[in-house]
Amino acid sequence: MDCTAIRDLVPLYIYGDLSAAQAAELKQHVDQCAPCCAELAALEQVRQALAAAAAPATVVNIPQLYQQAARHEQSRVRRWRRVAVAGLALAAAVLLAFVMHLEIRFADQQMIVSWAGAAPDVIHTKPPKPVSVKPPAHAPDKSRESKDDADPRAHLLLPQRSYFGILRVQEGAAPYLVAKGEDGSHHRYTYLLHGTTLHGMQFLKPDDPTQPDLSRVATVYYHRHGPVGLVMEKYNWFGDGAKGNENAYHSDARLPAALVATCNQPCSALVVLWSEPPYATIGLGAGNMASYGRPFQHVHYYEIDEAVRSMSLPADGKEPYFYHVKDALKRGSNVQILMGDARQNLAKPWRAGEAGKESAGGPDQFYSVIVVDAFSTDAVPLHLLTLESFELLFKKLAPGGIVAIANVNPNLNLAPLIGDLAAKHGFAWKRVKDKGSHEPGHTASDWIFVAPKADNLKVVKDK
Amino acid sequence: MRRWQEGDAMAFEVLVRRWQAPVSRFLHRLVGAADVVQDLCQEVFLRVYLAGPRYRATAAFSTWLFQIALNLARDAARRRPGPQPLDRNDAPDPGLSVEGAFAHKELAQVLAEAQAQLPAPLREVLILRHYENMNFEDMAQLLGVPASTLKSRFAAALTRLRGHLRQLGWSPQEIV
Repeated sequence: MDCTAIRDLVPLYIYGDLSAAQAAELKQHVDQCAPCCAELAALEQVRQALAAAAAPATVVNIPQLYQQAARHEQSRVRRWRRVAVAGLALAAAVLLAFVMHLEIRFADQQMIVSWAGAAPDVIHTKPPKPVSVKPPAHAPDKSRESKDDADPRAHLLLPQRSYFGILRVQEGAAPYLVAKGEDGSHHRYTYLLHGTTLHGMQFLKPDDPTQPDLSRVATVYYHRHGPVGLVMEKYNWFGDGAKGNENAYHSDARLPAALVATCNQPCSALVVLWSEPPYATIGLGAGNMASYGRPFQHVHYYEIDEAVRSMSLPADGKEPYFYHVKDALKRGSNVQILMGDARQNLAKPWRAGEAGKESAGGPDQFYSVIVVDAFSTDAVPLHLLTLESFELLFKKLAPGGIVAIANVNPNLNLAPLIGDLAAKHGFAWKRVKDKGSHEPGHTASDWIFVAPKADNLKVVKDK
Repeated sequence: MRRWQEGDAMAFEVLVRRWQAPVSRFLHRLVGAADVVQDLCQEVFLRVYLAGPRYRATAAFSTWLFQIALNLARDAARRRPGPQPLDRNDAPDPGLSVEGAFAHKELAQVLAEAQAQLPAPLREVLILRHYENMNFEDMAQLLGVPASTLKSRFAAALTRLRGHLRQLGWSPQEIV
């Protein structure tokens, strides 16, 4: 070993950390090498000097140590208890989410929370964008139940709870309801949900005047090419508007012409005679039936829920959510909404000029068509399905008139009940199921038509 | 330790009295500040008390104990950046003369400053080998560093300490 290697080993030699052979070799070298010998001596002196640096000892306070240990143990127990509680809460939340099928998703600056198949509650994180961007291709629906939970872009315009249930007006674009414009854009629309049942919708007037205006199209199960729509076409004397222009009838121009010709009041009775036959609808919904209203035609609604009325005719002068009724009034249709229970109102005597008031009922032998659509998701108003109810409805029908009943309740099929009643009491009935189509707003539907005579049902076309 | 684990409550107090002086001196040499050492020493034995039921004698008890102390000293050093000159308030050997006592105190101060100038890894090895008389195999287990590396560090520590002492004006004749 040379001096460099020896000097690296000198500290270990001093402390006795070399093997016997290394120690002997180092000793032999140091005895013959004066510099290495001096190094050994110097480091030995450092070692002796280190002994001078004694450090003071401290005493541990054992009673205090026991107290510290007790406190530490208590805080450890508390910590584990908190962890256990948090873990249990998390497990419960996960279990609840699993059982309830809880789903939280973000789309279009909205947080959408839904569970157990319920319609989603939409929480706007920012003002929503207009719902007109890239909806899927239009397709007919398989049922008339609400599919709003399938549409993350739908957003709530009005949530309302009335005595008769939970009502929601939503603006949106469930895929099966979307109409495709000529340039590929899509129409916005509003729709009414009662519970989970879709009770009508209306296309909004397009912002772009070059786009087709579908705001008068009777939608969902009232569609012009659905069972009731085809019946209403029978009463379209002029036979126009069925193709091409879906939103207007040329014969609507009668209103200004008639007003000029009749000089208003003196000859108004003649004008009434000149209009299409009256019809009534029990259950206003979104007012779709009003879209069939022509100038001077009597369009009566029997509605029990003030909240539903205010959606089409707000009392405070605000803009309505649905424009069918307002538009029909503008066209000159004689639209009247008789508030209260339909059967009670129908039973009251008709008083001309008092329509809409509590004292007024429906006129006898007046309506060509009475549409009964008062069946919500959860409850069937059974007093509208009794023999006495049908006798009352038939009393209000004009000769040749029919009653159309929407078979919308998902839990109770009304067809066999009405069929039994009809067979027992000798009136005619017919059920028509419609699968819907690709036309804008045309969904599937199920209708039961009832009439005092079988001949009356000739206006009903099989689908 | 075994007796304490077997349920002898007094064994822990015996253990504390046996090891409190070596541990506190070790901490004192690593950290320097007396006020911190008192708390650290208390904390070392608190950890021993809390971890006692889980202790398994896979190595020497002293190695495990000094491991706890070393970790606490390192944490304290991180909280007090920069080397701290050691406090030297210990009483000189009563057998020394007045001049001898003064020279002893002066030497202790110089040594404290010289040690404080050593990097922590070198200082730890020097303290464990010289003052705790720990062999390099136990040290390797405690510090998690190979024994050969620790031997190199020890040689470097002693050589550099001599250099620092010379810079501080120490000469071998001052050894008393």
